[in-house]
Amino acid sequence: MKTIQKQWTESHGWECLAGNGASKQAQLALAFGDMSILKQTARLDEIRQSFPQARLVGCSTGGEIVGDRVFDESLAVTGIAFEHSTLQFAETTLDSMADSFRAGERLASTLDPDGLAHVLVLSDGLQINGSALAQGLHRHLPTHVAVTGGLAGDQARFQKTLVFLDSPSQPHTVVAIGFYGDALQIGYGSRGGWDSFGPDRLVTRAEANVLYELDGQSALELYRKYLGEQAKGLPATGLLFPLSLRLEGSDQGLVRTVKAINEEDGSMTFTGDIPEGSYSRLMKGNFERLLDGAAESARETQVTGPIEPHLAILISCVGRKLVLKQRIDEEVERVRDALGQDTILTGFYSYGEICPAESTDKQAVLHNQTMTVTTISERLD
Amino acid sequence: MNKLLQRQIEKFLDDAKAVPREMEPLLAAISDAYDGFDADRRLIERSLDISSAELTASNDKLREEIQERQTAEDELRHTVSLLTATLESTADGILVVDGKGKIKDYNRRFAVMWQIPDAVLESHDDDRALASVLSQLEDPNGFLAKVQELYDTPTDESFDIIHFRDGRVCERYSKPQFIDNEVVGRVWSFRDITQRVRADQEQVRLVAELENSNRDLANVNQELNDFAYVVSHDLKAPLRGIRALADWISTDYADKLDGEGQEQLRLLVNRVDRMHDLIEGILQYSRIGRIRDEILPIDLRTLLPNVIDMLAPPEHITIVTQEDLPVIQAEPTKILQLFQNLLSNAIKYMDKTEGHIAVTCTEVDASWRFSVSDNGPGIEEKHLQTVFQMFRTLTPRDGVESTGVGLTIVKKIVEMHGGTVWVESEPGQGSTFLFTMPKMQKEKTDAQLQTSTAC
Repeated sequence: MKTIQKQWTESHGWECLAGNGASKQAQLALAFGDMSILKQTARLDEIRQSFPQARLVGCSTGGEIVGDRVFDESLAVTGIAFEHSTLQFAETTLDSMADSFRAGERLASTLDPDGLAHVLVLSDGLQINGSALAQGLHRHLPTHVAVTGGLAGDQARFQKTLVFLDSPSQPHTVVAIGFYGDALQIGYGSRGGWDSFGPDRLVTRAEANVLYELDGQSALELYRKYLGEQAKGLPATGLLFPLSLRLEGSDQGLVRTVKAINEEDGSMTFTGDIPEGSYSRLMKGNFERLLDGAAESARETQVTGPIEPHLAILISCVGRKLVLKQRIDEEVERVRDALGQDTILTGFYSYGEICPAESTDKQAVLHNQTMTVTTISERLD
Repeated sequence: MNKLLQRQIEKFLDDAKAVPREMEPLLAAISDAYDGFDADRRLIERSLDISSAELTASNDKLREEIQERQTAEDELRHTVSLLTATLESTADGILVVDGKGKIKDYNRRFAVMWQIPDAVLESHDDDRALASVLSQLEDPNGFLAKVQELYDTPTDESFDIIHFRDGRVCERYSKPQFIDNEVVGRVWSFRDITQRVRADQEQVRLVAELENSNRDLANVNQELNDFAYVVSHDLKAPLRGIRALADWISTDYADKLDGEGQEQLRLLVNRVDRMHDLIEGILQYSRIGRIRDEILPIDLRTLLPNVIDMLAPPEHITIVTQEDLPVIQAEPTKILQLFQNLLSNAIKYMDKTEGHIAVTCTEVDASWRFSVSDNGPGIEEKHLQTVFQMFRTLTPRDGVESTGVGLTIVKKIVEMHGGTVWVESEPGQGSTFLFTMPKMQKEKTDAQLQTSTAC
């Protein structure tokens, strides 16, 4: 397995950052970039020239992760050449948010189940119910296959996102990459590090991922009250107070973040389902715990995956960036520390992460506000 | 630039303006970080305040809820203890089952009534309980059918009667138990009515027996009455003959009889007259029962003066009647006879130089109560019970002419009209005869009539 990493910025143009292989052999080029740069067709043409054999898969971001650093307004490309493994690609577009489950089904049924080892999914970040997408994917995947991935972002703007296979053509796209081969070693972990605070609040009115009322009171008003002067920054500033969910009859906690608000009916749209009757609490970030969370997700990948992986794809929530601000690089450093100095790191800041809740599970769920790490290695002969 | 950073630069650098150009991005980053930390701190402080207020409020609410729950629990405990006490204090056997028929509760009386072992009841297994009772029943299939029917129509109430093989009889009631309009079970109650059923049967038997003996008695009475009538009627003719003969003897043989003979003949005539009166009394008495007149309104304000005129009381006796005597419903000739007998008795036995007799009437419930009082000799207490018996007369035979039938006839007439008669007296001071007469008279059957005259 060989990788090569390149980055483009307005000020420096293309730079080669790391790599141990020939770009000509790459089967896959992962491109994570700022919306404005991805719109420049010249940049995509340049990538295709660099990786002539590769299928290009990419998305817009709330920040790019390359090496140990987090960038804004850059384009990070990682070319990957597998020696013993093959890939399959699937692409679909979403009719509406209600199409999320079926979109997952469509993607999964396109991938050949024979020899399938893992699925990486990149989805439109706004017109999607991430919970339903994950459920739809698993409906047709072999039970031993896990899914990881994330929802595209666009800084903290929450207006439009972009996902593409080869070239950006359709809006509301979801792309899945199927990894095939016995030599593949794949690990994954997803941790948050947010603290719940304040009273338990019962979800009294919600439909799918649209929340209206907590404890019979407007949820939007509650957020406004807590945010104070920052309420005008909604929905982005809603990321400062994610919602932790305890589902009825389960003690597993889930985290949900706001992705849109509707002033007219006072509703808030979240990245995944908020079932009526579940209990929720507001959460807040704590620097140390967020950083510990990142390190923990990296360590989680090592439970079943490679200890010193060749490549790690980091999909972290844009909300963490909003809290950690200039210290955001530290969470990438913590992942680096856990995985070792030789691992190639890439990734992006997302509007939602998809990963099984535990590294021993296969069934993926939607996460929010986490650092989700997928590690990939090929076993040496 | 952040104000704190600005101040720091001015304070720690000799010449703030001389900051090298290449330092500016660094300073901007530091300024941003300061601003960020400030904003974060404000947000955290704000959320801490709001959240702590919310937690305090929810704490208060919880405390209230705990208090409410405590009160509700106390009430529940009270209700449960009341229910237990009620279950155990009732004379009925009670069984409570859930929607599936499983035993939820029962009282001791139930266990005893059905002779179900405690172990079976404590298992709450309705099938076992049913199995242990079926053999005790006369109609186990009917019993089961009813149970099944009610499980099929859970909202129905039921009532039926169960017969045990040992002769016991039970009423079985059942009502569904509802919570929020949902049937959650059923309450069965069993009442042992063996005693009542037996008492009812015994009563039916006694009534039949009584009716039989009444019929017999009426027959005997009728025969006796007819016999008395026939005998007295037939006796009168020979007696008249004897009287006529005695008269002839006293006329035709007056000169042939000595003083003693004439005296004896006079005594003979006396006795014959007396016997005639006795026979006449019996005849009158039996006639009362034989002849029923129509019940008519009788104005006593007219009837009583007539009676008094007929009796023509002597000068020294005054009879006073109450002014507003009522109009009563009765057989007119019998009422006439009734007052005639009472008043003539009072006149006949009057022993005072100024005799006072008074007739009054008062209303008591649905009856009239009449009294006829006098200031005559009165009746000793030991005779009060016997004065109404036939041929009882309290004065020596030869003192006052009396057959001893009058009060017996009074009693018979009063009872024929559904009333009662009695006497109160103060010996030496006088007597008061009292009788009641229901305002509404109903036509009596002959059998009842005969019964009331049987004594």
